[in-house]
Order: sequence, then structure tokens, then C-alpha cells
Amino acid sequence: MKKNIVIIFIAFAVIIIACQKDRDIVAPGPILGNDTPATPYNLLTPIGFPPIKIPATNPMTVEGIALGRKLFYDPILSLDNTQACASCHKQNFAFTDSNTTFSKGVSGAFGVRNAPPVMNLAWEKKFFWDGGAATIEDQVIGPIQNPVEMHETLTNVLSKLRSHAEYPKLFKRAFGTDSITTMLLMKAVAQFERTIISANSKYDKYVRGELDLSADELAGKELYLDQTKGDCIHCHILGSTFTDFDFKNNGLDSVFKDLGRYKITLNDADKGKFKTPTLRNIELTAPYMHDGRFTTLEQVIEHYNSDFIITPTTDVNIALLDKLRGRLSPIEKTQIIAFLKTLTDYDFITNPNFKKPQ
Amino acid sequence: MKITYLNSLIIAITLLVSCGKDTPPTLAKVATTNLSITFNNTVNGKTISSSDTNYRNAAGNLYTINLLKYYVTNLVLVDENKKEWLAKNYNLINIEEPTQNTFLLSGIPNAKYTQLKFMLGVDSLRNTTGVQDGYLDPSYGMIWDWNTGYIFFKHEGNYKNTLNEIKPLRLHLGKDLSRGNVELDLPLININGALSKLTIDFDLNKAYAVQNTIDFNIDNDRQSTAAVDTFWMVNMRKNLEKSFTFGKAE
Repeated sequence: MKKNIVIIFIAFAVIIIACQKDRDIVAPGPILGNDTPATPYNLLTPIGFPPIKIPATNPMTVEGIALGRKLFYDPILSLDNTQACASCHKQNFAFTDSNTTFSKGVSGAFGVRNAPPVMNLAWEKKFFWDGGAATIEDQVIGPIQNPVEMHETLTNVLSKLRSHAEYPKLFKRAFGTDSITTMLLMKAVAQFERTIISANSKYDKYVRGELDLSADELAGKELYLDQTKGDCIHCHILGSTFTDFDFKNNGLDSVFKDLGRYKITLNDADKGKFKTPTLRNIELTAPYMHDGRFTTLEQVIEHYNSDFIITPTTDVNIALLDKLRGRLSPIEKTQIIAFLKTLTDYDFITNPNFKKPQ
Repeated sequence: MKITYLNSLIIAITLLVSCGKDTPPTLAKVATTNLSITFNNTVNGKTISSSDTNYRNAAGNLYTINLLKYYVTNLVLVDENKKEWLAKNYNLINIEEPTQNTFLLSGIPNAKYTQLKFMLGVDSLRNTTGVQDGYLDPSYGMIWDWNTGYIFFKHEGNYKNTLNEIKPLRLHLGKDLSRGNVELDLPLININGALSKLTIDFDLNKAYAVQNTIDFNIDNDRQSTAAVDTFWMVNMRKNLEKSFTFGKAE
């Protein structure tokens, strides 16, 4: 019996060893060489937010995010090496362009839409005011090539990156190859942009039970929800993202100078529609609307209170308020604004992980 | 006792054999050929030159060609038994880059082929994102960067309008509506190793006439991104599908 057990043991030992030979043996090494695989990065979904979906084709890595961050702040992406993504998407303004209505490109020309915030993009479904870009990755190349923005060709960008002292090494670390392509450029910038998350405003702390809102702020919240008062709730869904991710005509014009979403879909019903922006950090992202026509939140509230225009494509929830024009009292307006200001996230605008890298 | 000993031996051998499962089974080898395909770009049968300023289309417009590029993708060879061989290729034909206009398809099973099909454009799956390599890299200038999607066919140059003025010509065809499916009958080509080169002729003037006449006085600046472009887009697709002919097999 003993003999048999020994034989069985030996037989299994032989099998185990034989089966193991095909396994990749990775020697642990402390030195981070160029050939070391990139370190996977787990982007955590903040409490109360919908789960973040990372595309299988662009998994997040520490090195990919670091590379994207360097590129985001590097003017090498522009024609004359003077403008970076960060030039018009500044952290202290929740990644919008300070108080500028339209941003000035490298060639002196101005854009025709207000720079939208690069914030909480991880949940967005379409990109740009008209939703023209399908993914975070896809939106990266628009501003680089736009003549009124960075006005550079991708061919030039690639050649500048390829002959750069550091980038080939950084791409190698992030993606395992130093042959820099547009695809890898898009992936790296998208990885960094996915990490730019605001979820720690006063409102978030209130929801988590960490502090109380003032009486005015709470009153503002009720008005925000009230369909006969603020009625913000239909499009700027309360809770996490503060947007319905849809495209709406919010009654700004009777004649559309900018056709918005229609330019992408060619569907008449989309004339004058623009993406619903998040209201997070709204205090910091002035001016407002796709064309930056309103400089203050008071003007924005007054638009929805009285001034909205009804055309065939105006959102039905706005059109329904036609008979309730002027429904908000001055105090109610200030209360709504007080509530909106609880969405300002000071940790976000000072987060060292989003700052220009050293 | 003996049974236990024997059993353990059998188990061990069985398991040892199962370790070898990664070894692929030996297949009967099918002889294959590496086929080179060349796209020969012409106007009325004459190879295009960007220095030639005297091209004239069916509508009578004089025009030039500074830039001409188009995507040839998902090429299929159909053999005499209707069996299809698909090359998952994404090639960009470009008059300025002749090396791109000949490409190699490797591992085609030796057989007699009767038809060649390809897509003029980029399939809907790949047309929805620019995050791609090879000739689909957006740096080839064949993507709308503000409206994700590929330009399937691009012709830029000048034309003379009815007042004899030289005006810019800019035709960018794309979107699902414009994706063409080209089908060419082949004279029973026996691909067998000896034969290794096919030439396909493209005639740009057919793209402006063969089904629907395109007049540059009307269609001179089309981006496939406005409702008014759709009529032109459909006409162009129909024309382009009939603008290719089988050249020769060598």
C-alpha cells in the first residue's frame, strides 16, 4: 500500500511538473524598465454614481494616464507649440476656459462655441456640444486639427512626438511600443481625461450625511425639483451626473445661428439642439450656453423663468412652462443659485493628480 | 493491490497525455498563393497625373486632380463553387502614394475564381471610431474629426465654372448612405501560384457619369454632412460601384 502511494505521488508530481513548463515565468524585478508591462489602474466609481465603463480596447494603466496627462498639458500638440488642451480647459475653472465666451486659437481666430468642461467625461455618451465625437478617444483629435483651435495636422503631431526626447519612451511604457500612432495618442489622452472626476462637492457631502445644507440651499433644492418652479430636474437629473446626456433645444433662439445637433444627424428635429451640460461646478464654468451668451447664473435662471422661446424643436418640458412665465420670485431665484453653488467641488479644482505634471 | 497500482498508472498516463492538448492536430495542407492587387487610377483609360489640367467630365466641366484617395476594404474572392474568401483588408488608394495602390493578400487558397468584390469605404463597425491603426489611422486625413466617421472617397482640385473662372473642387464622400459595394466578374482566373498579380482599373470620369451625371457647377463642395448633400451622395455611390473594371491577371 505504501509503495503504491509513493508511486501515485511520483506520478502526480511528474504530471504537475510537466504541465507547468508552458507557463510564463515572470521574474519579479524592482527595476521599472522600458519593457515592464504597464501597471493596471482601477478607476473607482464614486459613491452614488452609475458604474464607469472602460472600453476593452483601452484599459486604464498608471503609465497611460501619466502619458495622457503630460500630453494634455503639452503645447506640442498645436501648430506653433503655444497651446495645449489645458490652455482652454483650465482646472481652476472646472476645465473650461476662464470667463471667455469663445477661445482664441493659435492662429488668432476664435471658435464659435464656448469651451465645454473636461469633467466627468467617463459617463458621457457623446462628445462636443453637438455630440459629433463618438467616444472620449475620438474627441481628442478634433481640437488638435481645428483651424480655430490648435490648428495642427496629426502627421506633424506624430512626427514631433516621435522625434521627442521622452515621448517614445513614455509610449513604450504605457502601450508596450515606441511606434507612436494617432490611436495611441487618442488612447493616452482619453485615459487621463477619464480620471478627471468631480464627486466631492458640498452637495455630495450632504448626500453622504457629512454636513448640512443651509435653509436657502435646501429651499433651492426643492425649487430645482419642483416642476412648476425651477423644473431643472428633467434634464439636469439630480444626484450624480446632473445631466440626462441628451440633446435639447432649450428655447434660446427662434432662428438658429448654429444648428447644433442637426449638423451631425441631419435630422430636422435636431435643429438648435445642444448637449445637456452637467451642472457640477456650474459656479466656475461661466459664461453659459453653447455660445456663452449668459455671463451670470442670474441671467440663466431668468432665461428659464421668463425669456425662453418656443419653436417646433423646443424641449416639451420648457414649452409646458409657457403659461408659468415669471413664476420665480427674486428670493426663489437666489435660492436656486445657492443650491447650484453647492455643486462646486474645491477638492476637484485643487486635486494635484489633475495639475500640470512636473 | 494490483488493481490500485494499475489504476494509478492509467490515471497518470491519461493526465500526461492530456497535457499535450496544446499541440495542434495535423491538417491537410491546402496550397495557397500570395496575390498582389493593383488599383490603376485613370480618367478615360489614361493613368491619372496631378499635373494634367485638362480633364473633362461627362457634364463638360474641365477639372484638375490635386488629391484623390479612396478606401478599398473587405475584399472578397469568389471561386467557381461560390465559395468566398474574405481578406480583412483596409487599404487606402492614393494617387500620390503609388506604393499604397498595390497590396498583397496572402494565403489565398488555390482555386478558380469567378468574382471579386470589395467595399468602397469603411464598414459600419469601424466607421464609428477613429481609434484605429494602419490606413484607418486618422492622420491619413480620411476622417471627419468633428463628426466621427471616415471619408470613403476624397477628390480635391479645381474646376472651371460656366463663367470660365477657376474654382476649388472639394468632394468628400462618406457616411453609411455612401458606402459602395463593388462586384466585378472575373474571366475564371486560376490562382495557383504561377498567377500572382491582378490589376483593377478605376475610371474617375465614370464616378461622375456612369449612372447619374455629376455637374461640378452644382456639386463642387460636398462634405456629406448636410441634408442637401444626400442626393449627391447616393448618386456618387451608384456611380462609384460601376467605376471599376477588371484589368488583367498576370
